Amino acid sequence: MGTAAEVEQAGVGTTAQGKYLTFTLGSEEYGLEILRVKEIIGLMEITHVPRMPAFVRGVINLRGKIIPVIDLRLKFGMEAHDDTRETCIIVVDLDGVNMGIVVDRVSEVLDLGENDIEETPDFGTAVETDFIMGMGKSGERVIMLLDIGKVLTDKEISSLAEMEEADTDQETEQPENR
Amino acid sequence: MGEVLERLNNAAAYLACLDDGKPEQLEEFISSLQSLLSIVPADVLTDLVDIISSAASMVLGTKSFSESYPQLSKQLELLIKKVEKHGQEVPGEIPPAAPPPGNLSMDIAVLTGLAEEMESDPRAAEGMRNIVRRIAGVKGLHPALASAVSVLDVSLEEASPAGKNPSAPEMVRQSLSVLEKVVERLASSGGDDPAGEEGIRQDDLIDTDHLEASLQKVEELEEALLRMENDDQDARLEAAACLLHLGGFCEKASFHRAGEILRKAADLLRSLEHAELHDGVDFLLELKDLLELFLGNLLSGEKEDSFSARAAEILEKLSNLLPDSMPEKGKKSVPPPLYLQLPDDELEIQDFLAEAPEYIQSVEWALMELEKDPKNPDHLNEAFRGFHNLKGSAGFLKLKPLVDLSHAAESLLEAAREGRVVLAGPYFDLAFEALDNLKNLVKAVEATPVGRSRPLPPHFSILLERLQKGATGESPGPAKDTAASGEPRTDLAAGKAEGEPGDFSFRRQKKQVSGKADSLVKVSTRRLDNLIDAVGELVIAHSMVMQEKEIAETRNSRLARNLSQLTKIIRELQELAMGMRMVSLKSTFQKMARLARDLSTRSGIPLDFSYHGEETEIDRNLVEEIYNPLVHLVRNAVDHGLESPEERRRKGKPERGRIRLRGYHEGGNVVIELEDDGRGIDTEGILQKAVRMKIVNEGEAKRLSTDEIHRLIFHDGLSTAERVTEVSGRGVGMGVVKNTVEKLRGRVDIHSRPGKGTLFTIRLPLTLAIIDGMVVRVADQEYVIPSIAIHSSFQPQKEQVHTVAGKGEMISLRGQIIPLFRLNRLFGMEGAKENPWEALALVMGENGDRCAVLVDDIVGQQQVVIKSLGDIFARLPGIAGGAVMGSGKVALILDPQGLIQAARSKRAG
Repeated sequence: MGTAAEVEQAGVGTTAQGKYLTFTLGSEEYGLEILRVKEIIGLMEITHVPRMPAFVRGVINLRGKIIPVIDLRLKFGMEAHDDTRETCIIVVDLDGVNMGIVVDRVSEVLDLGENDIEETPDFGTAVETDFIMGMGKSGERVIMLLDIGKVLTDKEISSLAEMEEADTDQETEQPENR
Repeated sequence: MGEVLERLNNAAAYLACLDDGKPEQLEEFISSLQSLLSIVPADVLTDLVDIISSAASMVLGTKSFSESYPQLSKQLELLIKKVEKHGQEVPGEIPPAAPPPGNLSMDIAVLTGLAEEMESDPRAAEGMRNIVRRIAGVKGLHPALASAVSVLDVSLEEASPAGKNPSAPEMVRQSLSVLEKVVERLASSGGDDPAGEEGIRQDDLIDTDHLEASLQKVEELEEALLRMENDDQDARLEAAACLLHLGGFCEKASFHRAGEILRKAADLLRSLEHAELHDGVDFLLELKDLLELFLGNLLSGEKEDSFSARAAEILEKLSNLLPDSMPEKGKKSVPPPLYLQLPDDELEIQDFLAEAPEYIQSVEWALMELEKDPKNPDHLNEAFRGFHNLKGSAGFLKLKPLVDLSHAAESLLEAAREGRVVLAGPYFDLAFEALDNLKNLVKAVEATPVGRSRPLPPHFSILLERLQKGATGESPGPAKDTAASGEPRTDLAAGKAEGEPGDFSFRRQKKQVSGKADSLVKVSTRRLDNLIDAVGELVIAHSMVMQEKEIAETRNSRLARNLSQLTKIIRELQELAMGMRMVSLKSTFQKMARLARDLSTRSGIPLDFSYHGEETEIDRNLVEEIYNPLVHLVRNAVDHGLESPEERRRKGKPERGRIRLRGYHEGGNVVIELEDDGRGIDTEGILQKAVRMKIVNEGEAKRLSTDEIHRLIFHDGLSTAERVTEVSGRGVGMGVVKNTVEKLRGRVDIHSRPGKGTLFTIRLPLTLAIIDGMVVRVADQEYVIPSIAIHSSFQPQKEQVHTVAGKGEMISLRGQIIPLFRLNRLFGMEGAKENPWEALALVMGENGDRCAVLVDDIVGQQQVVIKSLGDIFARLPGIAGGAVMGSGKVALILDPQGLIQAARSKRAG
């Protein structure tokens, strides 16, 4: 566990308590700080943006403003599956920038006290846990509390634009002469 | 009214204590009344002026003290009663007898100027009397004005060699200032009663409408100046008129010095001889730039006179141009400037800046207390300590002006502490003035780079003198304009630091002034953009509603009628909103005229620059963007286009080159043309160079049309100029032009004829917010391609499509073989038509870069509002933004240039 995680731990307990919107991805339950959530909208037609990693579903028109939508399932390396009637988009506010995240189902708003939140367990250095603020407990359930601002790291955001297309052309290479 | 009453009562009490007619006491009495001029109720203005006149006559000795004294106190008593009555009544308006004649403020400015020279030059007094009599002769003069004028006349008479009255010069100044205030007062009372508790402040005098109008005048001035060099006598008069007008404005806004400078500039302008004309215009243009900056600052809310100090220098240079007559006059008004020199140690300056405001504040507070109780020793000490501390910490940094000023102020307070002077009336004002100037000096320290120096405004030394006088108990003399205090507060902070480049280029001046004389409202661009966004949303929402099946197929005729009405209104609203972003090309064109002139001066190529269609409107954002390309084009025209005069003579052309700039609308686009009558583009030279630089190969070179060859100059790194001059010739300019224009979704075309000249045509969309787009479909996605980028579209025949070994898919089009790119492959999409002959090919790109892009279908053509996709997608090649379609869905807007580049680089490997 690196220092980053330690810093994270220090924050837990003081800032993490509060209300969380919980949602599910596959069999996992996640929580989002309610203050980050702007609205929840039903799934609408998403315009695909080419040459983006698969987890970027595209863009939607949110009352005239165009916002990007990412698919958390794909972002977290889970298997893609078809959208259902319960699939919806949570619009979150990332420091003034709106972004939609596609989740399988929105469950409820949970009030988590200081004692309901535990540090992120040590998964070993191979697993990146920066975007998990802590683990929430509610009865028997364990909820992963996301720091949504860290889900898309700066590096990722800037590299999005420079993504090279995955497929290759079979044409031979020769510099253009024109 | 409370304050007015209180001060009037004080004056009455003061008057009562006067035992004999000591002139100094009466003078003090006058100046205390003077400051009331701008705040008393309008209807007693005349009475107040009358009282001042009587007092002045007593000072002058034209009326004996014993006779006039009872009358004076009676008048004052009456006045107080009148004012008291205002406590209950609505204050009256100034009887609209006659507004002050419009040029009065200018007359007064002239008078003020003359008054300064009065003591050294007896003719000045004579000149003043002439003016005064002229004013007095105006029919229907407001009684207050008449009274003020007559007392000035009497003072002048006394001041004349015949009268030789020692008090007269002082009285001339006093009565002049009375007159000035009355005029100001009358001029500002356009029906509404300005006699609020606070009186007229400077803010009220600077009014945005006038400012905007003045800024426009500045533009006119520039234009007239540029025309002047062609020996256009009208232009000369126009320019002088503009200068006078602007001077008048400055006067009105209480920037008296600025007004004076402008007036003198107008005088000089009139007397410029042909030989000095060019340099003279140079200086005047410099003056104009400075003024424009200054007015721009005023418009954005600054109140400092950032103009006078530097303008005075320019004026001096200008007056030096003239053989003899003027110079002494010009020089006289500009005493050698003092400098504020900053030390090198930044830390020490920081310390000083941290503590100085504290001292200033303590002085300010103490002075305020002293105003109520002038003799309170505690407050006197407090103020003294404040000045002293300031002196100490400024002395540490060797900031001489600050030390001198605080020292002088300290002496004044010392005198007050010892009871030699009473810190009231002019002395008090003086102390405050010193404080204000110290404040400004501290600001100036903050604004001046470490180790640099900055000139101080000339009034600084005068203030010092007055403080010293004050400290010895002499009458400190009037502050030239105590109430409005435009002058004393002049701009220490705003003056330019010495050593900074004196660059007053136009680009700094971002304000655009609409050419209309309508009254204007200042609205932040942000609000404007929000409004335009909202209207855009409305349009989208409307079109979504209209496409709704129930609506589109309704049989309800009333609903249909109302809907069509709604459609009309929305369309109009959209046009209005878009129109709000539009500004005329005028200022851009004027800047180009100026640039051409400067270039002509520098390169020694005489030229005539003209422009037309400057009223053509264009999106505000575009105006800023188009500036650089135009600069390049104008430079290019002067540097490479036009021949030297000798060469032109040899060719039988007129010696002066000609450059024409034209703007007009054409089918939803704004077209800007720049034409020169120079040598034209060297087609052969370009081609050779292009081949040499491997921009084209020899085979291609043979096939290129003349126009295509000319377009090669837009390639970075290609420039025809054999010489590299300071301004252009590095071969990047033209590339910048093309890239910028294309970034704005526009196009540049060249048309050149050897020996005859070159015509550049820039075509731009009217606005950046909306584009005319071709909606195309690929698989299940819709994309918008700017229509301007598409040359043609066609359905390829099977035999047109080839796969060329080593080059990928190509398509032959009218004998030319161009690369074929498939949008679906570029974007990695599935489900698109595989056979090109079933799909559609769009021909895009420039001559050398032409290519075809394959899409499934064209859905239609429509105008779309461009929206940003946000930072995340900002650097996505080939995609310019998104548009919300009628269905509410987002369609991506393609950036053809980026797309083609991406496609090429992919092919190239």
